Amino acid sequence: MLFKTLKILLIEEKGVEVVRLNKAISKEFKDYKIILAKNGNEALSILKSSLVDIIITDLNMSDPDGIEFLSSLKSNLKLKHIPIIILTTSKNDKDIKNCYKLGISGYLLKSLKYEDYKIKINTILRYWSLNEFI
Amino acid sequence: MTEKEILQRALERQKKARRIAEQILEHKSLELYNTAQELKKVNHKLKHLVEEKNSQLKGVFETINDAYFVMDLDGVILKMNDLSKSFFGYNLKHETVNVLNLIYKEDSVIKSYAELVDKGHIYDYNTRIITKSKEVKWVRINASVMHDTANKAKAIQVVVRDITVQREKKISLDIINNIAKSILGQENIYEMAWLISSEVANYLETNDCVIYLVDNETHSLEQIAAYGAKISKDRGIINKINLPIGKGIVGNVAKTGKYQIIKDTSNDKRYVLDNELRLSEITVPIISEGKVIGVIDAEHKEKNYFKKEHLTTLENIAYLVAVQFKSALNLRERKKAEKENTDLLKKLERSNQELQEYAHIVSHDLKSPLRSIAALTSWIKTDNITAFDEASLQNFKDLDLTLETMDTLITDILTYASLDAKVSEDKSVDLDTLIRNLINVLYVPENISINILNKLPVIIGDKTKFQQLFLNLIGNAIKFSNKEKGVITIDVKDYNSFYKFSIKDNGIGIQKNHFNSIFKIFQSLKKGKNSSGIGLSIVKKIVSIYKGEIWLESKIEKGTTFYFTIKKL
Repeated sequence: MLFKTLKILLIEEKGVEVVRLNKAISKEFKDYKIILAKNGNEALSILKSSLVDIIITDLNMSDPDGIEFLSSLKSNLKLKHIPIIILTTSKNDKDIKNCYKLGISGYLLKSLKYEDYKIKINTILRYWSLNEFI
Repeated sequence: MTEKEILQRALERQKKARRIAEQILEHKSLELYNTAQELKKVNHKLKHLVEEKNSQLKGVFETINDAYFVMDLDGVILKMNDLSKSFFGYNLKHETVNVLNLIYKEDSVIKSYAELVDKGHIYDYNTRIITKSKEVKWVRINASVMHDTANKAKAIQVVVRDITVQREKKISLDIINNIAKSILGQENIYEMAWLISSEVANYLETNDCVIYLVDNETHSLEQIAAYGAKISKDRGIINKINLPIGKGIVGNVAKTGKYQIIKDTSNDKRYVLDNELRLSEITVPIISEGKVIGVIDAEHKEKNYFKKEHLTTLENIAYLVAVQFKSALNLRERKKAEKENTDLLKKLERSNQELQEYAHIVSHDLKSPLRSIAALTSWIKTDNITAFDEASLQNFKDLDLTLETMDTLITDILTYASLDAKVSEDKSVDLDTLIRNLINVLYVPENISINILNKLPVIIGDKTKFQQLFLNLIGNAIKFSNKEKGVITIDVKDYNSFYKFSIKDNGIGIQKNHFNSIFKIFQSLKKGKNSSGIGLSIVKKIVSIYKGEIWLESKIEKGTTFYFTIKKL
């Protein structure tokens, strides 16, 4: 089966995490493209010039914090249609609820075990590769 | 017709008329006789009645329960009954008494006397009189004018009833009622004291009354309210005195808890001169729960002014005041405590929220590096897999396990810290479904069977919390199973106001001396894989959130049963 070429915006400040994600992505996805942003502001300025298929973002960031960043994405008419997947370390019920209220498409926890993490990442990519995008 | 015939006819007519007239006369005289007889009878009766009345009156005069006297129109008493004699203290045999001299000088009776003469009677007239022994008494007077046969006013008969006691009782009752009404529900003891001081001064007909409050810290008495010259325009007390307990008459009463009536303060060394010398003083303690909490003190410029009745009334007032003071003080304390409580709650809520946010951040900040370490070590391992020997590979395994344990620990601490947060509204939770789903998700080794004896109820609460609760208990039961065939039994019993759940295993068992400590945070008897030692603390906290209890029964090597209750909402 041939997967679509996904254009992903990844918002992650930790270099190790970026490497981990890249390493985890299975060989079956040949032509994916990851654009990296270290924080919310950087992400917003990138999105001004080029749109992406999905956004994968950590929730733990500051100024803007994760929720603020999501809000500004979802209140922007040009950007609000882009699916957002949260990939973060910890969770609480309040955050999860707020994120879904804002219209996220998924909430994943970075598993400690690398094997578990790999399964999660590849499932997500597989799923979104099957979707159609504008 | 002849003339003779005419005359004869006329004669006939005359005869007839006379006959009729005679008949009428006869009839009338009979009537007259009858009337006369009747009158005679009535007269006789009347005479009898008068005699009767006279003797009755005589009887009344002698046996009447009230003082009774007859006076002439100038007020000179002509005759008085025995009660009158003893009441007024005069004996007509030895002295002449004029009623006008008996009347209390401040009570004008001229108007009422005029009314008496004018109307012929006066009913229920209240006034004060002075007896021979100079006692002032309140009396109720009924009087009527007696006339002679020519209907000329001759004398006045007077019935006098002593209403002193009755009046005092009523006044005493009135003032107590008044005070009760005005201080009831009053929270401010100063406001209360002002009311009382003026009511008491009014009642005692004096212009000096002061209320003192005992200050336990300084061991003294503070004037908190006053009536009379001691009040300034803005209701402050002029020259406020602070009296050490034991000093003066007031200080003495506060010390002993015994009332004082001073007949002549100029003879009492304890008397503390305030703004003016007054010769009579009455001082009553306000006692609550056996302790003097205040003093009511009144003075009067005349000597020997205060009476036993005053004391009774003041003591009643003091009792009332004690009760109300006490409840006002209690109310004040309670309000203060309530406010402190509310503040504390708010603070607690805030710090709770802060704690949760803090826990959340800490959890993230601790977990992130764990992930990095895990990733980095696994890369080192895979990149150099051929270079490591068995021992090193075992070390990598241990490293992974340690990281996992640490991760679980962080997760559990966060869970524990977040339990108080009410994230979602309480809903009905079908425990039967919830636990069956839970068992499906859990890793249950094949040698362990889980049985649910009775259908589990639907209860109101937070689904996540119930999940955590059962997950921990069932998880423990699985973790500490050491038998060839592990059996875990879940049951519930429905009580009136709560459910009692039990989770029984046939595992390793717990020593009795650990029964309490296992619920404390970071206490794990056997820290195995993925065990943080917080699980039972989480369980206990959830149970207490639902107002339940948790306890256990256990025998080493036989197994353990955890019981807990959940209150029905």
